[in-house]
Amino acid sequence: MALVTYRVVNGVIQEPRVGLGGAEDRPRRIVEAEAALADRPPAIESFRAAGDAAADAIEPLEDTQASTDYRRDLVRVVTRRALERAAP
Amino acid sequence: MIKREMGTAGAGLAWVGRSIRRLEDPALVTGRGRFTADLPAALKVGFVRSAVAAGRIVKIEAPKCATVFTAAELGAVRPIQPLLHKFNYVPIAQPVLARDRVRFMGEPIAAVVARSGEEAEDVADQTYVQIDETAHVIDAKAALEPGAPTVHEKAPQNVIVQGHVKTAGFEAVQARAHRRVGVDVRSRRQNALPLEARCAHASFDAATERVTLTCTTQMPHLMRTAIADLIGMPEAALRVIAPDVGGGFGQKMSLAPEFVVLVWLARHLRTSLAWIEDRRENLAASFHSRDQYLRLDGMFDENAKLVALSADVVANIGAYSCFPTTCAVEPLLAMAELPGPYDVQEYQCRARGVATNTCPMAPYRGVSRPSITLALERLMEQAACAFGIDSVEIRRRNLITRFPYTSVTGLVFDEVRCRETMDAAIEAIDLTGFRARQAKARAEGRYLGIGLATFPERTGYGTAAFAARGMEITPGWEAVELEMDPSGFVEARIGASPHGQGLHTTLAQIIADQIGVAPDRVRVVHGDTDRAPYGFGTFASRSLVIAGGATFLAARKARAKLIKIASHLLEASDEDLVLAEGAARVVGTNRGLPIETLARAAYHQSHRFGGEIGPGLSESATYDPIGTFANACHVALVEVDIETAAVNIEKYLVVADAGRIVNPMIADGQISGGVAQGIANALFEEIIYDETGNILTVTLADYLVPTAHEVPPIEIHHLETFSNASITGAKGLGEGGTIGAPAAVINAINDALGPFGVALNEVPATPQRIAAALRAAGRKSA
Repeated sequence: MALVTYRVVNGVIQEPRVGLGGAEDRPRRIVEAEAALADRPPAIESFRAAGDAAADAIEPLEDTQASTDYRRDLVRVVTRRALERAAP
Repeated sequence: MIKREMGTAGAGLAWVGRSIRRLEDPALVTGRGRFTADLPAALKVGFVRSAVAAGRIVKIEAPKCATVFTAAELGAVRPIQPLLHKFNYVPIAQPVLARDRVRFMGEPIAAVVARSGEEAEDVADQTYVQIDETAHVIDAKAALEPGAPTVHEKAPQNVIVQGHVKTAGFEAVQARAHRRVGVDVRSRRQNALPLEARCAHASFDAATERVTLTCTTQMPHLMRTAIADLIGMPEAALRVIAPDVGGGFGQKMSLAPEFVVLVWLARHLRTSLAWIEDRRENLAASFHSRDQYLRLDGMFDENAKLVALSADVVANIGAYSCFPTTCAVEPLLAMAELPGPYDVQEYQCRARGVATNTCPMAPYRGVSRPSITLALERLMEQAACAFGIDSVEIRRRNLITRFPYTSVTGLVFDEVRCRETMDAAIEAIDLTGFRARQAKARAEGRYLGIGLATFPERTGYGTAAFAARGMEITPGWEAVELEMDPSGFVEARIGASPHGQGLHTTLAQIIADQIGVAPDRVRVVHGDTDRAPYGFGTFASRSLVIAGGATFLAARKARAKLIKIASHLLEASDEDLVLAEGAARVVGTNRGLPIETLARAAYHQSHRFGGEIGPGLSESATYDPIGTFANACHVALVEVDIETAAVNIEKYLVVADAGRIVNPMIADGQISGGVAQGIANALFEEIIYDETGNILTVTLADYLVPTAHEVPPIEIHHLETFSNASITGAKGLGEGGTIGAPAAVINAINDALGPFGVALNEVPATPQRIAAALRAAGRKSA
């Protein structure tokens, strides 16, 4: 659902990329989440901010399995978790 | 793993109790099974179906040159109108093709006959049906509201069946109860989802003027009776064959209107035709089940003993009443069996079956028991919380332990040892160890939970039980014709109609022990009304008990005759003879004869028996038992990810007592399959209609079925309490897996989320429902 890449240069995140699938009608980069990461340390606070930014930025799909609210929550969680897993 | 409690099932018996390989499998696993869709047909049939939930048919226009049949052509075919003689039942009728009204999306309106399935589908798509839409109602509670749209004029309030019971002392005991605990449970709609959808092949034989209907059915003889009745033809002119059938689970015991149309078309067009249902049709318009609301109130004394139980059951029956059980099967079964494994002396229940503009309901593995078990087991958990005692303790204080026990609704429990199965389950799962692990995990922000379900499973019930429900048809007995041919091979022709239960193998094991031949010398013939004796087929955890009992009785007669023949040929007295390992032997001597010699003599040298015994070797028997109860305790261990609301089932344990286990491997297979379907019920599968009555879940991308990934390893233990109510001691266990799993899984989720004060009483507990419950309980999102 979330694909993230970033470099850590001098202790801060550079070139962050956040991609989301299964959240909207097509997969796309979420630049708002990337902005929340750039030049920040790869720490939980930054990841949370990016998750929140992603959740706020999307217009979630709604179907029988996942309501808008649930999908938005899921985006917040999976974005943060992906960033955590990628952390050095 | 088999734990033998009541002696060793195998003692003195060679085959019963052994996990021999299934005799039916070599053909099935090498692609040589024969299914309905494999048969060639001259023509294919497709159905034009209603695209709306309710309306009046104004006109039907088929494309030019197309062959399309409507109710106008089938005017003489009677509608499906199953009967019930009790509980204010309103005998609603379903025309096999809609006449002037449609009552659910997917209802068959016209039959298209074409050269190929594709062409039939195209013509069906091009057939224009003008329908004036009328008001519709989808939800059962909405259908009960004053002023709700009426589905059938005969039932203005939409209540098709209504049962009510109240014990004399209920009010008084309720008034002085120490504590009242209530629970509202919602069970969403499911489809039994057999791997093979419904199919029919009808072939007219001009020489005999007979039709052979090969179809996906669990009850071929009853289909013959029903279809012949509706069309107005003698049963002798119809042969029904159930070839290999790819799962039924109840969906294939109900009469499909499409089958009636196929037989009518074969007679009318004097040809062969096939209809092969696709998954979309099956999901939308076969039969559904389990769409219920249950409200329970338990009145407890100060010792947490349940003293009175009150229940209100609202079952959505869909648009029509299924044949043969009628739509009363879900609500009335709930009413009769709701007190479950618990001792309660005062009971009141109102159970209503409510018509809506949705696909009709039919029995599905367990019928109402998965939802009543869920409701009762949630009640027990909430009561345990209220009293501050644990899950095991509240059950110990309430489970029935004295037998025979007559329930408040008049059911006789011969021996339902829920206490023992629960104790064995608790020991096997190491409850104390789990609680320590759970506490440690919680400290780390991980949420583990354990859930119990204890329940009785009514099995192998005979005609009396069905008569008590007021059913016009009481499908409680079975017949078996057993014949040994001159070469010593046995053919057992049975009225049961197995379709995956392994009954060839288990019946062969029963026969083998009586007659002294190996099971691979036994052939079981079923599912062909020209070959097998009249019977009711396979459903309701009955076949091993009832067909197995009849088989045992017929085999015992055959054994007696073989002994008599041997006594003549070996000049020994009956008492000195044993039949085993393919021979008759005189005890204590080395004298004996192979069974095939006895068989040959029975046919070719009957003059040697001096008229004492007749020629040949065929025996028959019927069996109509009073019914018994298996029971089980299920335990689920889950972990809930509170951020995503995903549920992972870490471990699943079943301790079952189904009496004598004829073949442990087959028993475990039945339980495992049932648990998988119960987990589907608990977490995944849901048929969803939108507010217009359009069904949203018509593909397997929308109707979510658990795969091997979602179904955990299942550990199974058996206790074996032989039942005197079953002549073989076997109790049957076809439905138990499905019955226990929703309650065990939902209890485990609630236990895991205990720290948040979540009360989740709805199935399926999908992630979004769990997330919503967490939000409602005040947990902030991540």
